Amino acid sequence: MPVLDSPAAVREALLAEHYLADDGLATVAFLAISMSRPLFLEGEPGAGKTELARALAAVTGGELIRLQCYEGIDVAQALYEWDYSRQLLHLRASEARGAARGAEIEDEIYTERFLVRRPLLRALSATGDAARPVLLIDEIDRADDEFEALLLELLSEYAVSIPELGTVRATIRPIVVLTSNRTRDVHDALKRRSLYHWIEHPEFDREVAIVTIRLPGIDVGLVRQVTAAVHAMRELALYKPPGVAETIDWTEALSRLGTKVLDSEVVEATLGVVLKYREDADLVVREGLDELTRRATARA
Amino acid sequence: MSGSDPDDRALVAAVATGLAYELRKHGLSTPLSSILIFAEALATVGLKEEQSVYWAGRSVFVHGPEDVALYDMGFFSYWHAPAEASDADQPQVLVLAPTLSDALPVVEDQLEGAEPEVAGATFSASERLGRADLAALSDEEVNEALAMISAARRMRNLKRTRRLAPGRSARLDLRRNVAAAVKRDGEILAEHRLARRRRERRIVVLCDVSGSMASYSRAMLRLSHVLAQGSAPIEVFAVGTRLTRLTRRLQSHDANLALRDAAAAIPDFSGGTRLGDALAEFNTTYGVRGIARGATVVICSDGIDRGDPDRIASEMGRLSRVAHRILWVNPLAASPGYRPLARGMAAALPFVDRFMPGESVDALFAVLAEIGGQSSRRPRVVAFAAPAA
Repeated sequence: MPVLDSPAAVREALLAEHYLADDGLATVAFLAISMSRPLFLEGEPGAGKTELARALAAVTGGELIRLQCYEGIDVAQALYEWDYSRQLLHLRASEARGAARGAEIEDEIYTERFLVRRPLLRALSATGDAARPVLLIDEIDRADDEFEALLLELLSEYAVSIPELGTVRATIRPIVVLTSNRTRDVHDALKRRSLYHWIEHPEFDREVAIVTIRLPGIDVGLVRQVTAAVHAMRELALYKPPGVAETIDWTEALSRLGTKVLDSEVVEATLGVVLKYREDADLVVREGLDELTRRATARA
Repeated sequence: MSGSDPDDRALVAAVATGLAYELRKHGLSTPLSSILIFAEALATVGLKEEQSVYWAGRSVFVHGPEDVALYDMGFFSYWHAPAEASDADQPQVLVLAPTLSDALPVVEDQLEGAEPEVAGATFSASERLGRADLAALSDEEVNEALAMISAARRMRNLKRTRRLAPGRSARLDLRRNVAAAVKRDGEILAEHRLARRRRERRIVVLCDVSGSMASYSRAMLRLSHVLAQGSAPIEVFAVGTRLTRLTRRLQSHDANLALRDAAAAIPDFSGGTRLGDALAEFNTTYGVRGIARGATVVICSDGIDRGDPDRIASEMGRLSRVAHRILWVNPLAASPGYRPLARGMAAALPFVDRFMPGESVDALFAVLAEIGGQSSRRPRVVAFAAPAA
């Protein structure tokens, strides 16, 4: 694992994993790793938040543990749960045998054997010489206040207490990455606990570089045209503006079709790769595909 | 830099507090816990590079893109400040051990609301005031009416969530059953059950603040303030020639303060209306982010608009596809013989679930009750008196 002792070192390491980070992101990531504080990434969908977590895990060589948040997610899905069916079977079997009673049953039921470790607990359980795992808590804005309270406790101590088992404390602290699409204002306390970074859609040159790195052997002229077209689309009032992921997909699709120079027909035919809403596609067509294509080819 | 040298530590502390002080002057929140984190970050990344210090501070003090401009200004004035200026107003540098904990207040859900409680009109004078058209009242009477609105309390508008808690339904609560069985030496009685917890539905208020709405918009904003003091998540926007978000400004408990603050934020109070543009901006900037999803949307406007009715129709369509239901409060609707002929109003009407008058205090109380009312979406007859043909 490369030594991550400066923002530049982090940047180089991420680049080796095909992730192009700008100075700001590299600095904040460096701080998050060194200070063992969570990295809170907020920004446009498709701007590379989840990708960063993947790249960091590749850099450290640790496991990427992903927790996808949704409304109503709670301790049982996120932290741990008991394997109730097996516990009930065990209870029935004991009862049938007329075996253990009272406290003994309790000791048998609440053991490792019946414990189901969910992502948060797994992230705290790395031991020995294992590489630092990366815990990705994705789309925290979809969860609710109560879940945030749970996270806040966990992220301050990197420890949880399981009533029946005792306290589990991380010997190797995971690198924690939280992402949010801002559909809801996440509580300030969580942001203050973390190091915050807002990720925007990249500028033209950087986006071209990102796509080129992700699609080895691709025709750079095509990449530039596609990127220019996507940037033009982002200026419109779209329901869901395309992200970097869409730029990459579109470039790949056009490449497979053998396209070297964009024209209105091929753009219209492949619009579904880059715009996922009917209204957005209609809007772009209404605004004029010819103009869009002209702007795109001008930057080839 | 090692950070263990006392001079280094003093320098880090000075920079941390100095920058925080400057940022506070520019309007950013700089709690002590954050300053401590910033100091640690500085010790980690070093003070040599301006960029490193910039990003270290930004990662601690900026919590959203709207803070970036303020941070940039604050950072610039701190970093490039003339040397003499510093000593005079530097705050004292205190080095504390970080033992603060950021406690997060857990939102408590409460089941089953009580009857809608509305400040009752106990005197006939209040009754008359409640029924009167706000535009027809004197300034003094208007203030009294507004005070009546502020005194109202609202019923909670519950909705089901995915979160499960002890309750009554067919779903078994395995965890509690197992725990109970253990206490009974292994005997299993499947008696504990789970039900979906109820939670408040979000309210979104879009209030037309144009000239034609003058007296009514003040009352509606008062009502929004009352709603904001309740437990439901709420977002409030003013609609004029553009959209202004008022939510944060209405959070103060003092109604007068909150409303002064809100009014100050609206650049085009009593100007014209461009409903289509404002709705489009709302949908694109906030609606897409999910603020309106599953929410009760309350639009308060007379529908008199200078913009394109087709735009209003398409934006209302977009909104109706994500919102739970849309209430339209129209102060003109109470006039006898009113019909929604204004093109803006007519364009929007097909997407409205409930159309209500809003010219008096009583009418607004009815709106309050409606917001707090049913959770189910039933097609409703548009409630205005329109004689056939």
